[in-house]
Amino acid sequence: MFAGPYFMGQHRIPCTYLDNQEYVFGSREVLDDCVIEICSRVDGFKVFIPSPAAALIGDDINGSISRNGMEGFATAVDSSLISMPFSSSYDRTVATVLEWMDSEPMDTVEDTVNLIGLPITSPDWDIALEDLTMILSSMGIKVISAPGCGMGLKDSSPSTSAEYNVVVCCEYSKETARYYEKDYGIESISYNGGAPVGFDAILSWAMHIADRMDKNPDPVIGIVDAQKKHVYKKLSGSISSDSIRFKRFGIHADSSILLPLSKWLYDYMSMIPADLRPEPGFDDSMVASAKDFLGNIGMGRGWEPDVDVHVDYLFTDGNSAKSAEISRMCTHGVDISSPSLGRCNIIPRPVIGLQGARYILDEVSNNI
Amino acid sequence: MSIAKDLADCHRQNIEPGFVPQSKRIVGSDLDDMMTIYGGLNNLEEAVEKAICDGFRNIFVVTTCVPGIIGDDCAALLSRLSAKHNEVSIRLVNSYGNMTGDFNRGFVDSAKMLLEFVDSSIEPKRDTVNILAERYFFKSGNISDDASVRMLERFGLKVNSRFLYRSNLDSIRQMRGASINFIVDNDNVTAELADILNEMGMYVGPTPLPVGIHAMREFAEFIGKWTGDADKASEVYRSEYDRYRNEIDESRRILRGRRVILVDMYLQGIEWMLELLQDLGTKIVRLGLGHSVNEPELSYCERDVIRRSYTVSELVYDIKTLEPDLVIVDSGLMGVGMVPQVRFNRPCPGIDGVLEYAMRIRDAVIGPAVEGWRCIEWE
Repeated sequence: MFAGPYFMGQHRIPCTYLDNQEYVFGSREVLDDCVIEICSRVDGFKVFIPSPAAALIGDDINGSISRNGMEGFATAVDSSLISMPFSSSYDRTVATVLEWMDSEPMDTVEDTVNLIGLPITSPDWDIALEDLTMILSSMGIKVISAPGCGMGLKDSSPSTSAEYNVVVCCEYSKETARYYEKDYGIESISYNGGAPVGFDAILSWAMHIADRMDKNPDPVIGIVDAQKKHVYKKLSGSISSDSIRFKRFGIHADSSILLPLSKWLYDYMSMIPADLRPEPGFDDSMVASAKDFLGNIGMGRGWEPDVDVHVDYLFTDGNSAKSAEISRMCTHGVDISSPSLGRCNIIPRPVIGLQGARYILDEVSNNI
Repeated sequence: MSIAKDLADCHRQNIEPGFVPQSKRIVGSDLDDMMTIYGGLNNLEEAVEKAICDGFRNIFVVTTCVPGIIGDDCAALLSRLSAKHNEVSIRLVNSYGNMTGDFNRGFVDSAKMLLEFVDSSIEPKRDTVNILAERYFFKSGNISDDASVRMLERFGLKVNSRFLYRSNLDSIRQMRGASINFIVDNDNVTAELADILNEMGMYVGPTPLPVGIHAMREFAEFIGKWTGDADKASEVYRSEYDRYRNEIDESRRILRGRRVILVDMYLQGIEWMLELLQDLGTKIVRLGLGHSVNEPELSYCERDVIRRSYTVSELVYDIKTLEPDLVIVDSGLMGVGMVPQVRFNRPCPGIDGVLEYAMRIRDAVIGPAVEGWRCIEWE
């Protein structure tokens, strides 16, 4: 499958690799060839995303799709998303595909939700999705679909029957949420403490949803409680657990991850936030909350420090984590997002959800 | 475990090309229960023969407690091996572990043996120094391993040899290339080592490499006189002082008035810690000392807070009665978990190590005293 043109023999996103010729004379020919090649070979629907250079050339991708009779199989995003923060461009892409699918609305089914804002760049996103589905299911809430997170064409129409959309990471879901509300009247439930990362935020996130949907959160409280007891047994039996306290950490991540993770590491493990930097596209209110949190504990200087700070643990994308270890900016780098070229998790290591909480604790406890 | 980790850490840090790391130049003879009954000389012979096979030509055998207890005659064995392999130098340090004086004794005996390799024909170069008695055992923290080298370079001094730390026989042979030697830390081991070098006619500086800002000032004065460039030394000190003050003032805002119990079971010369705690504005409500620790310079705290031969029970009692905000302790055996606790060891020379401790002490007060994971309600 990957041996043909545009894939270059690798399991990667196909690319047209426009060069000087196309910049001068336009890329219509390459575009037409690519549309036919990709749309006829690959199952499922296709989304064409122009790079800034391609957008500069100005060829009409949707025109090419129509010209070649591929309207039923593909669409193009209408702006140069690569220039935008990743989270908002991801969101825009998902919303574009939903708009293109233009699903027939179905009747609302009570106690059902879509999970929005869970990107597939989150490590082991499928396990995180299962986790969150289980958590909601324990409260009698059924997850119909997760747009932008493994949702197929066949799930598009049923997604319109959800009673609510539940937000995981708000940076990845604003346009998606707006689309569902505008076209199908589905409101979103968004927890202002961030994504369900760490036991505290998982519980708060679930309780916020339960409150909004008039559900009993006791089952989730029980599940989280059981997890905490398991962790207690492990940590209290470990000779190194006393050494974790007051270790310094940094987080370079989306604000919806940074906020709950930093507070949880501080409260749950008595670790000190020393270098917090949100990724572009951050949510302003979450950034404000994170800054307040640092200020309240006397670590205001830990917000985007001017100079490079050495930390014991740096939570960031896998590539940067490794790089920081090698350059000794941190003692141990923790992979919490893509890009991560070296990652190959046979055992799932998500960041979001209960398994994610255990992964984070594992990383902290075993790399002192 | 901590030593293995420290060795691994040293191995990861700044290894020059061609330099074989310490961790690859130590092997053991793997004594086990059977050998304590039947003797361990066969294993020792195997280990030495393998080292020769691997290409090592200068081999030092250092005994531990067990060979001494079981009465292995290592000297006779190594004498036979030396005769068999006359191109290889095999030397024995009979240290017999805790039977004859523990780690410190072994260190000094090994040092004496290695100093026999110093080439007396080498002329000293001005502004070149040796650093003596850095010990792997005490290396800790995140400060770069070369902090002491960089500190000396700022004074215009070049480091010729770091005796017994990341050194090899060549660097030991070259030791007379330095016109002055500085010991690290001030304890019985370094005092004995300084005496040995002075007897060999190798001048040892009057004070150890400085730890803390006060010692830094005295060191700068000495270097200024010794090099003849007092202005440069003064400028280095001034710059370090300003850096120290900026960092300390930041931490002092949080730590002012905090009550501290300081427990020193093993380390000598902790004036730097007392000075730091004073600069941070804390109040030392107890200074607990181990029975072999010399009383430190007491301009930094009141005499009546001292307790000698301090025990865990006394610490628990003091925590309940004196209500400290923080316990700072050099021994893991004194961990009681009732209030925030910071472990300390010898910092590297200069002020970087001291500032790192300032940061850790501050973090211990910022962080929750008890981790959330410990707060469980059991049915």
